[in-house]
Amino acid sequence: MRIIFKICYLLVTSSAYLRLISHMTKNLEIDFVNLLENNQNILHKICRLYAEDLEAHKDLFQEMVIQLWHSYPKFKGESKFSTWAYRVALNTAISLYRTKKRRVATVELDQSLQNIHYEEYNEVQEEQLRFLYAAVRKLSDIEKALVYMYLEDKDYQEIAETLGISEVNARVKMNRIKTKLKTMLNQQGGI
Amino acid sequence: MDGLDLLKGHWNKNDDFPKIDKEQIKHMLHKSSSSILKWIFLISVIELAVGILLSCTITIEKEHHSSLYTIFYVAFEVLFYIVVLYFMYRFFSSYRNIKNTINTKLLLENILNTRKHVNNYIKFNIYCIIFQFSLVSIEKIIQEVQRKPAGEAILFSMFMVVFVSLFCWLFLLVVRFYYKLLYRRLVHKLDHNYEELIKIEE
Repeated sequence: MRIIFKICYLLVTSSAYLRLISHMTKNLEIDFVNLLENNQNILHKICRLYAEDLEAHKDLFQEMVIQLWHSYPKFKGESKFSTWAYRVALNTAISLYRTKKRRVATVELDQSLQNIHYEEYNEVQEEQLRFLYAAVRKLSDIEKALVYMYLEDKDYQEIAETLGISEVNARVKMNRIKTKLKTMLNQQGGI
Repeated sequence: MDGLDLLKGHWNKNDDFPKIDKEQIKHMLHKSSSSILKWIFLISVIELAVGILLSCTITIEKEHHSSLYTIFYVAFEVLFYIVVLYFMYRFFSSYRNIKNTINTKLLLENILNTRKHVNNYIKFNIYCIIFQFSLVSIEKIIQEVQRKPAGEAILFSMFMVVFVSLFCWLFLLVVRFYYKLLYRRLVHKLDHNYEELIKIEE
């Protein structure tokens, strides 16, 4: 008799625990989805540099969301969500994401530059911008990460921390990328 | 105007992306990841299982063996399982250490390290199989030498040696091909990016 009681007690308490855990994860999920919805442009911007076409953009976006969700329990709120998110997302693009070979590599440039508008720019500038986006895409994964952080106005200390290199070297590398892009632009006859 | 400055101006103004709503995000959370890490992990778990299965299938036959051979074989077997357990421990602990929240260089380093553990484990397995195979054939040769006249025994041993080395060579060839096919494609990107980070530091 006692054993039956004990088993019943265990069942009740464990189901209560399970409910508590599922409730907590539900809450976690709601928090996460809210935060991500408000910060989704971070991911889109990274995709804009790393993904070749719309299909790859969606793919990478999804992989970033999954990776973010997996590491979310470790997010302790010491930094801003946006700071944490862009780091995890960049790391996903650099190390975890598998670029799939696509059948046709001849996607039109305009289609691949997802939703980029140039209304306020004159023709020359528009041409330069198109060229710049294409040139940045041709850079290596690491260089793209540096460019992304530069465009997002991150300071060199943060860039160095994110990549795990020294601040001086981050600065040197960034200057080299700038020169590289400038030469590419000049060769194209842009400036 | 610097090229990048022009880009920066445009970058900050232009963020008209397709909006992904809560339902779509929720849907994504429950999809499975296709990350490099997941593939490395899956493949190595399969390899671990195959390695253990292989070592289970190759057991001592119920023939009569010299006691020296049996002792040697059992000692080898025990050693083998100790090493396998060590590898499993190393492998899972390093896999657990991989966190996406640390910096890129460390993350790449950790993944490549895990990969190295798996690699070493496979190498160990291959050498063990070759060693076991040679052991069995040496035992056979010794038995033949004891039983048969000298001429026949020499012929038999020569045949055995040629056969065993041919088998080992073929085996290594197949395994190497498998690795080239599978892992080099997976880890190529990681290797490349890691090397670039190291180069920046030089």
